[in-house]
Amino acid sequence: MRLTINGKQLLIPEGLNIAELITNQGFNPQVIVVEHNGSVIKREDWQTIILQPEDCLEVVSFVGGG
Amino acid sequence: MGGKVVGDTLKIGDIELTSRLFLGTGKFANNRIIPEVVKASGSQVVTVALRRVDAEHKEENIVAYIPQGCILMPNTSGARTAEEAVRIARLARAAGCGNWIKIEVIADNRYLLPDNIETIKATEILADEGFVVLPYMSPDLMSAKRLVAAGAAAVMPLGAPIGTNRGLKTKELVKIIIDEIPLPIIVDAGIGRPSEAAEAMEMGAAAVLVNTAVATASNPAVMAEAFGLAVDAGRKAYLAGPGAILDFAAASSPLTGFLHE
Repeated sequence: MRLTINGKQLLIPEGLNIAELITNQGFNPQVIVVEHNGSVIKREDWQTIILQPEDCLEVVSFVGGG
Repeated sequence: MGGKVVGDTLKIGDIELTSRLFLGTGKFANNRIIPEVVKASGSQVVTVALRRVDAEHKEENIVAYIPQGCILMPNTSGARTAEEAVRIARLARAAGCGNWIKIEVIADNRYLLPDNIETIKATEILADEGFVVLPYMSPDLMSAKRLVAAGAAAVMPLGAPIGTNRGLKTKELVKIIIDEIPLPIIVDAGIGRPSEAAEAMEMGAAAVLVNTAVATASNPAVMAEAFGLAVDAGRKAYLAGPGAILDFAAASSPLTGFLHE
């Protein structure tokens, strides 16, 4: 199925939860924050959300800035 | 000799700071020098930005370079509207590094001047949600008053456009804000030299936020220390109460007992 991560379309197997997708895509779970369809998802809830077709995810972290 | 005035702290939210220099972490040629630079500056508040992660080109974890005990102040850079700033702030808080947020709403790409109206809107929403909100703003008294009403913890007028190292070009307007606004006023952006940081502190700014001036110096750690000293010097001068500025000379030596009398 198809979903969007950070503005890019991606094909993934059905039935994955957010935690599995994060690992799958090689993100470091310790330093990221995930937004799922406009809502911030706490780390402890990543496993409870099964991804659906056309979902929209933002995966962000801190960088240097002023 | 050196150091700070005992008991002179800056209270923002529930936190009492002894350092009045806030430091940004952008533009460093190598992030590995950041711990040394922060230490040299004496800063207790350090800013970061929030960006999308590229899984294929992993960047370093900037937080690992910030000394423990510093307050992390994420900014909302990249936001063009209040709505976008609020979204970034919520994401930043979810990272678990505290509830301070520097609001930065910019839709002007040439001068990067902030949108005060959107900044006020974002401040109101985020202050209601329990954030400690420090809005970056164009120095305008009425906007500053509205930021107070919106629940800001401090007000951060710019000295000159971001990253320009041009100095305290907005001095007269910032002075008015310092005189009229009952919140800490932190001069943010444009400060390029320690003397300009001292100038801001001498006229009563509560703190100064510096990034480019340190990050783009040939020796960032030494420049960070110089800024720390300048901020302390300017603060001491402010607390000492500078003497009057006169139009004509007033002799420093006695005007009696001259040899020609």
